[in-house]
Formats: sequence, structure tokens, C-alpha cells
Amino acid sequence: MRRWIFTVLFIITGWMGCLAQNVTLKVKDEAAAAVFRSIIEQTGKNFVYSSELLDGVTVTVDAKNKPLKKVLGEMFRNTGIEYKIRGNNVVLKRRYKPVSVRRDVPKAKQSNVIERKGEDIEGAEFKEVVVISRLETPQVESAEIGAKKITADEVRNTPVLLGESDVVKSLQMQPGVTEGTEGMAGMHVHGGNDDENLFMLENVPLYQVNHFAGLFSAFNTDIIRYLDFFKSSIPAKYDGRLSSFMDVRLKNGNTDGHHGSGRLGLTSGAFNISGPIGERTTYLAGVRRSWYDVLSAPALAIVNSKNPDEKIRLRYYFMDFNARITHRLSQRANIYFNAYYGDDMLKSGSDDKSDGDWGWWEKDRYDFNWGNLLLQGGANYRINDAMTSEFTAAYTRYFSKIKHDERDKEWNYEDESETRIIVRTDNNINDWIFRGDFDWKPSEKSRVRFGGNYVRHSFLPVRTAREYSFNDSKVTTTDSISAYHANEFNAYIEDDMIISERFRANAGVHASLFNIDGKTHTGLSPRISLSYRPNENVVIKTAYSRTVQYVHQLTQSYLSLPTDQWIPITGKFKPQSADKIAAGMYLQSGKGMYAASVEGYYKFMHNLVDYRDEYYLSPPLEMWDARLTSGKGTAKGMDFKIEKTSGKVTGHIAYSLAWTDRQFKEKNGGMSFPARFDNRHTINVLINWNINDKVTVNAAWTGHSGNRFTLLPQMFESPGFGSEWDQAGEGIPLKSRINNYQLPFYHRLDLSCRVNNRHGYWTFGLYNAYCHMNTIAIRRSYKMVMETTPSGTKRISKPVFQKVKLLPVIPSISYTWQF
Amino acid sequence: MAILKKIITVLLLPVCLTGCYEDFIPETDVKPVLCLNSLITAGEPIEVKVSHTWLFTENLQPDANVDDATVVIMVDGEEMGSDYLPKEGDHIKISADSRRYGHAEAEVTVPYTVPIEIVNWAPTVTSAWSDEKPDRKMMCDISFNLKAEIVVKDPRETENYYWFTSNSFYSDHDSNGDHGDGVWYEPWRSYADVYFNMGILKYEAEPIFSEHIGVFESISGSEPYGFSFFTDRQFSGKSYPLHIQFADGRYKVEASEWNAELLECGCEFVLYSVSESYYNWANYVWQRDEGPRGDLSELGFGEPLWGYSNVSTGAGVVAAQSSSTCRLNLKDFIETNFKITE
Repeated sequence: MRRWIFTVLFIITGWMGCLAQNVTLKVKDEAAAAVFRSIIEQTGKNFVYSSELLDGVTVTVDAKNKPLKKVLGEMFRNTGIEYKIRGNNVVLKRRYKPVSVRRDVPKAKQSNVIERKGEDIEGAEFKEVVVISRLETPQVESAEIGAKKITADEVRNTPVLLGESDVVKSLQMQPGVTEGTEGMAGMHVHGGNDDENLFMLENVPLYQVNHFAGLFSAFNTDIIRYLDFFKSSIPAKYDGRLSSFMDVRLKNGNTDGHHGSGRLGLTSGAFNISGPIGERTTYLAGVRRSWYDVLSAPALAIVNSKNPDEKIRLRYYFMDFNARITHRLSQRANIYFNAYYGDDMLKSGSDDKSDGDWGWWEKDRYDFNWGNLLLQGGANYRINDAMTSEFTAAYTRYFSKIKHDERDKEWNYEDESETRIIVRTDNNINDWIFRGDFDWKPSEKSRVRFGGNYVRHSFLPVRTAREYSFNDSKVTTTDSISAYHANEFNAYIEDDMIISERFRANAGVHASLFNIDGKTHTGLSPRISLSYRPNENVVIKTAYSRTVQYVHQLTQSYLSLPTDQWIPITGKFKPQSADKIAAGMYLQSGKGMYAASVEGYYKFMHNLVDYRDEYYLSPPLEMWDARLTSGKGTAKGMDFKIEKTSGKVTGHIAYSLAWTDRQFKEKNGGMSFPARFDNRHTINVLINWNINDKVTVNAAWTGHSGNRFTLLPQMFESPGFGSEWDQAGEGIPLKSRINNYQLPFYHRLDLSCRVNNRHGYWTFGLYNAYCHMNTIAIRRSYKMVMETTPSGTKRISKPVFQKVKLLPVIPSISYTWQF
Repeated sequence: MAILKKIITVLLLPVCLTGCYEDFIPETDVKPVLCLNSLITAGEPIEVKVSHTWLFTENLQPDANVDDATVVIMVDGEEMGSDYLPKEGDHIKISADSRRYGHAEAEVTVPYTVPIEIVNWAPTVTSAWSDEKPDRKMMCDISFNLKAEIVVKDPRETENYYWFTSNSFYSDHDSNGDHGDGVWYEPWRSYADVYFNMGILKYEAEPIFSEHIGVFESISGSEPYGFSFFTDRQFSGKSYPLHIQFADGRYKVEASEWNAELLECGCEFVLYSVSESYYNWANYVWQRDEGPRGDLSELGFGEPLWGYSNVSTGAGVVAAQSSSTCRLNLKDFIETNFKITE
């Protein structure tokens, strides 16, 4: 009886995504399978081959920045193995037909190999044991729901605005995730708010992950290896946010020479380089900077030259810098150091003047500066064959500084007077983090992860100093809102268990303690995921998770502004928490080329915090508590996804059906209302077509029910209390139910095309390809119309509602040079 | 000041250049409701303006009067007639009914007067000029700045809201600083023209006038100009000295004869004790006109700002006030500087 071979999915966790199709490699008589790792890291390709194909096969190759095809040709010369590049896969075969045999497939021994039971197919000829070297565990192989590992390649293959690839915008294509305001990096996961997502760089939180009002995120995709994203089954390791967790992992430095790339785009440029320092140490450094200040300078010069008495000043740039050094101490131990600095600087202002005996000048200056600093040092130590550990110490700082300086001077032939107003505002968070994480495999059927951390938070929510001077007199005031210090302790343990051939489970718990302002809050977050696999290609899962959040962000606009404040739970408020249950079914085709999934979830959110109605009427001198209200929310829905993971054409179609609402004591009269991102239907289609080795085309279509908006259709008569600031009879908008209006259906198509050449690649992009200008908001306006009356025709001002539509088709181009 | 709008517009210039607006009429299912507006002043008859709401797209300022409304005024639980003169401390409830627009009601307490006192003041001359002509025996033009400390004695155990304002007075006039008309006295050859203005009140000089301005407003360039409402949150039950500064005050006189009465000028400071609803209404208007939320909402980047109301239907404001005054006479100051320049 002939037993058919099964598919083995070989997961290499150290995969490094990279778009480069040129490869640098120098090996001599090394096992072929071991050499693939380096090629995967450099090209992002998967290798598909039979398990016995490479038994005893060693390769020798010496290539410096050579095309992948040439390197593969050199590698497999005289080995009897042929290769074909199919899309993102390199498929390896023997040049001859294998001998027909019948056998049972032995169980794989390797800990990172997941086997499929052999099939009995008598009479059939022997086929290959297929080994797929790729990054992500297929959904049918894990107990987790809603987890996604996204490679840098996938991030780059998602077409985005202005051609600036962006991890957050790539996540927005996932089912259950909706974008914020069009073009911005806001992200809403399963009905959660934007601040309920924890963004981490190498497991260290970043508070502000947006540049330029949210148009770009803080992560430089040129140096990203991959990112882990969790939205339903949350590993016990993570807590502190209600909706999702995203951990961005950086590439390691090259070991075989100094290589890097430079990218020049319409809006920014980037340069990164990595290589070895001696035999045991590698480095990686990347810097990215925007060009807006350079591009805007000539335009401003032209504008200013037209009116010498009135000048506009504007300078904006963002930059970020990443560095990573890793050093191998021994076979068991590595140490590393990571640094990240991201900075946004906006300087704007105006100069106006009127010369003469009776003259004046006025100078207005705004300086905004905000960003993140992250320093991290750590060590990985393999305690024994079954246990590894990681110890980390990190410092992360978010800062925002704003200065407004307004000066004016008036003079005449008799006297002069000068007035100056300076307002300085500071807002920052400093975190010291110490953590230890352990990964223990007591048996083939159990993998235990445990660890703990301590975080020392220092919050300075706001400190404002105002200085007013008029000639010789000066008044200085400082809002005395003190800094808050908080101590946070976390401990977690989880076990990933193979209960039987068909059952898997992941159970864990995360305990947290948050001490602030003399109060101690505690949280216990149990997590459990169960999976049942009735056959090779189907798995059914269910999960429960609880998450607790001790900090929240206060924002007063739909944009990401430096005035958005992260503040801890204080006063009368309790930590926010969420309970989520989820269930799903996952299917994959026989060879894993296609996958389909359906996930359902129900989330209960407690102690949510939001601004109460008319919060601005409370003077800011009061604690922010006075402006806030607490409440609850629910989110429920289903996510469907069909995915093609290999071949020339890959991609997915995702559909989400969702409901989400909120209820606060002092908002909307205490009544429940739909959340702003209560998008009933969301469809995302992503297609990547590798036409050949040189050209890849990507298309992303997104469509969703419009966001909710508070429309104020009625007016009432102003009381007109008689002073100059209050005109009687004027129409005043009447309060209405929150989010009572749904914007029209949103949809757009984004396209991008990458063309490889000898030294790098061009990327062409088309945002909103068919130029459907979507409505992002409603505003009130007035327009002049002609009205005919018995006494004649006259122009009158007519009130109108207007749909605000922002982005038409926007092309982009960039070139990446690799060396 | 709409600097935030400017910044956002410039930042998103490429976007804004390509963006557009499209008129539309949203489908809404709303019914008009009653609107009540009233400012109750201690010692003055109560006037209530009853109107109805209208659709924004209907008209700019339609006739919103309600003819069939009946209004009831209750004071401390007792119904009062229209001739009732409210007193400080009265708790007044106004309700109105209309067959077409339904019912609306609002309550307010008339606040107590809080006395103010000028404890310190110092005018400084920035320029002075005087002359004499055959037909003008009294001529001078004095520019000055003024600093004054006016103490507010906040009563204990109540949450108080205030509105500080001032009026110039001069000669026999009691105006807000308009040019004085030339006045011909009998016999017709006698002529006098006085102009007096206290100048510009520097709202920024008194920090408490900025207490409603938070970080978001500060960085968006919102200024306290024109807003002198404040609360007693920072000095509840205590005395607080308001630091008042006027810049570019001016006294100018041309008269055919010397007349010391024409030197009579100064400022009357008024401190209104206002109800919370009055304060909130004023704050709303400032936020709409000067604060960043109005700009953001106008651009579509923020939640729309609806009008403040303490009426059950959400339409209208029923407020109350009482006032105390004190006078600062600058006659001696003007006279002294008149003489110096002679």
C-alpha cells in the first residue's frame, strides 16, 4: 500500500523580508536548506521543495549582488535539482521523475515542524514531501484567532497614498480593521477606538506612532523584518490595550557584507545600511526624512515675493532614525541594542508690517515639535535545549513641545507700544521598562511562555506657561498641573498545548498592577483559545480574552495632532477593560495555496472614557476628570476572508459585518449611540501579481459603509444677550443625537507597480485610481444664490450642507537603489 | 483667530487644493421644537422670547415666532404675573406650551450682587499736547495707559460666575467712548468738543480672563480678546484682585472757554454676577468664534459644535444676572497733565 506524503510547513521565525531580487552570498559546501535562510532574508521568497530532495545536498556559491536567478543557477549546478520562480515562491524539483513507492511518513522530529498525517493512495506514484519555508503559520496550524504575521514585503505590496509604504495602512486591509479619516493612519479594530491599539517596536511601546497629522506612521518599512498583529486571541504576554497589539520587529544586520538601500520618493527619502563588525557583531542603521520643507520653500518664496509687507513662514519635516547592533556572545547567548528616534518639527508663522510715521508690525510664530525616543538593550540566552530567555531594559519617551510667540508693535510720531504673548506647552511621558521573558518546551506537546515586567511611568499631561508683556509690564502664569508617577507590574504565563492530534489549546493569564496617585488598580486577564481540527484542511477555533487598559488618549479632532494627550487613569475613573469571545472556522486547500476563514466575535467594553457633551465649557484648570465621562460599549461582527497565498497571483478578499456602539453617562443624554466607526459592511480586496521577475503589480480595493457623523439639521434663535459677541436672531445649531448620520459608502482603488532593474527598483503608485472622491465629513456652509421675488431678482445667502471630499487620484513615484 | 485652520489648510495644502465640497440635502426626520430665550435681571421685568427651531437649509433667518404659546413664570414654586420684578436669589422657572411645537421649560437662579472696589490705580501719560488759540481757550490731547486693581469679594459656599466689563464716561455724556459731538452752548459763540476713550482693554493682562483657554486653544492661537467672563474656581470664598490694563486711552478737548466740568471723565467698572447658563452661553460663543473647535468642525476635521442650551428642548438660553459698579474718575489726572503741558 502506498502512502502518500504529506505537507510539512516549516516555519523559520528568523525570516527577514526584503524586496531585493539581487543576492549577495558566499558559502562553501554548506547544506542547501541552511543557505535558503540567507536568500529568504534578502529576497522575501519562499522555497517549496520535497523533504528528501535536499538530503545530503551541499552547495557552493560566491555571488555579490547578483540576480536571484543567477545565484540559484550557480547553487544547483550539477546537483540534479532544477528550480522555477513562481511568484513569490521558488519551487525546487528533481530533474527526473521520482520512483513510485508506498510508505508511511515518519513524524517529523523537529520542534518547528508541524506534520500532516500521511494519506494512503495505493497505486499512485510517489510525490514530493513539500516543504514551504515561509514566515507565517497557516491558520489551520495554530489555536489563535485573529493573529496575523505581516512581512515587510506585504507591507510594501500594499499600495498607499503618496507611495509611502506604511505598516498601519497595511493592517487597515485586514478584516475587522477599519481606517480612520481618509489618508490618515488611524486604526479601529473590531469597533475599538484608535488609542486601544498597542504599537510596539521590538516589544517596547510607542505612544505616538504618527507623523504629519497621521498621514504616515513612525515605522520605517525599509528596515522592518515583520510585524505580529493580534486582534482576537491575545497572547498572555500582551496587555495594556483593549483592541489590538502590534509588535514590529526589525531586521538583523547582514553577516556577509555591508549592504543597504537608498530610496527617493516624492515626499521623503530613506537610507539604510547593515553589515558585520567583526565576526560576531552586526549593525543596522536606517534614517528617513521628509522633503516637505524643501518642496515648500520655493512656493513660499513666490508667495512672499508678491507682498513684501506680508510674509508667511512654514517649515515642516519629519525624520526617524533606527539603529540596531547585535552581538553573538556564544552559541547560547546574544546581546543587542536598539535605538529609535522619531521627530516631527513644524515651524510656521507670519510677518505683517506697515511702515511709516503711523506704522506697525506683527510677528507670529508657532513651533511644534513632537516625537518618540526609544533606547533598548537586551540579551537572549538559551538556558538549555528546551528553554530560552530574553531580558530587556528599555527607556521610551514621548514628548510634545509647542510654543506660540506673538509680538506686535505700533508707533506714531509721539509714542510707541509693544505687546508680546508667549505660550509654551509641554506634554511628555517617560517610561522605564525592565522585562524578562521565557520560552520553555517541556515536551513536544507543550510550549510554555512566561515572564514579567516592571514599568515606571512618568506622565506630564500638560504644563502651560503664558507670558504677557505690554511695554514695561509683564504677567507670567504657569498652569500648575503636576506630573504623575505610576508603577506598573505585569506577569504572565501561557501554555500552547497539543492535547491530541485534533485538539490544540492555548491557555494563559496576564496579571497587572497599576499604582498611581495613591491608588492601586489591579487587573487579571485570562486568555484561552481552543482549536479542533476535524481534518487536515479544516480547523474550528474559539477563544476568550480579557484586556485591561490603564492609559488613554484624549483627542479633540479627527487628526493626529501634537495636542493629543496620553493620560493615565486617575480620580474617579477605573481602568478600561474588555471581554471578548470569538469563534472561527478556517479552511485551506490541499496544498495550502488557498485559505478561507470566517470569524465571529462579541466584545464588551467597560469603563470606557470619553469627553462628555460640551466638555469645553469646563475650564481646563480643572482636572481633566471634569471634562470626561465613563461608559461602556459593545462590538460584534463577523469577518470573512478568502486568501491565495502562493502562485503568481496572490492576495485576499475580506469582508466584515460589524456593529459597535457606546453609552456614556454624560454623553448623548445617557443613551446608547453608534460609534463613529460603526461601519456595517467592509470589503477589502488585495491582489499582488508577479508578472515576471521584473514587474509586480499590486491592487487594493477597499469599500465600507460610511462613518457615522453628528449632523445638526436644526437651528434655534440666538438669545442675543446684547453684547458685541452675541448677535440676536442668529441661527444656532440645535443639539442632536450623536452620530445620527451615516456618510455615503466609501470606496477606492489603489494601484502600485514595482519594476526591478539591475541596481534597485522603481515603484509607481496611483492612489484612488478611478478618482472617486469620498466624503469624509459634512460641514455647514453658505452660498450665494439668485432668488426671484415679485419685486425682482436678488442675490441671497443660502445655508447648505456640504459633503467634504478630499483625495482625488494621486500618482506617486519612488526609486530604491540597493547595494 | 483661526490660525489652526490656516495651519491645517497649509499642511494639507495638496489635499485641500484637490478636495472639494458638494452641496446636498440630508434626509432627516426631525420635528421643530420650542425655543426659550430670556435674560433675567434683578429688578427688571422678565421678558421671554418664544420661538421655534427651523431646518438649517430652510432659510438664513426665518420668522421663527410662535403665536400660540402660553408662558408661565414660577418663582420659588409660585406662579407670578408678567409685572413681577425678580430679586437676587429668586429661583425662576419659565415654561412655555404650544399646540404645534410642544412644551419647553428652563430654570435659573438670579445670582447675588458681588461688590467690587478699586484698590489701586495708576494712569501713565504716553503723550500730551495742549495749545491755545483765539477762539479755543481750552485745547489739549492726552494719550495715556491705565493700570488698576479691582477687588472682587467672592461670597462663600456658592459657585459664582462673573462678567467684567467697563464703560467710559466723560463730561455730561455717558457713552461708550464715541466721539463727543461738538456742543454749542448759549450764547452761540461758546463751543466745546470733548472726546474721551479709555482705550483698549488688555484682556491678556488678567490671567483669569484666560482660564477657559486650554492647551488646545492656546496652541491654535485662540486669544481671550473680547472675553472677560470668569468663575470663582480659583478664589472661591476669597477676594481676588483683577489686574485691569487699558492701552491707548485718549482725552481730547477743544472749547472756546475754560470749563473745568469738561475735564470730568473716567471709567465705570461693572461686575455682573451671572448665572451658569449665561457663562456657558458666552463660553460657547467664544469657542465657536475664537476657539479651534469651530475651525475644525468647519473644515470637517472635528465634531460639529452645537449651541449651548439649558432649555429642556435644547433650544435657547434662560439666564440671569445682577450687577455692581464702581467708578474711577480721571478728572484730577487729566487736569494735572493739562497744566503740565501748558
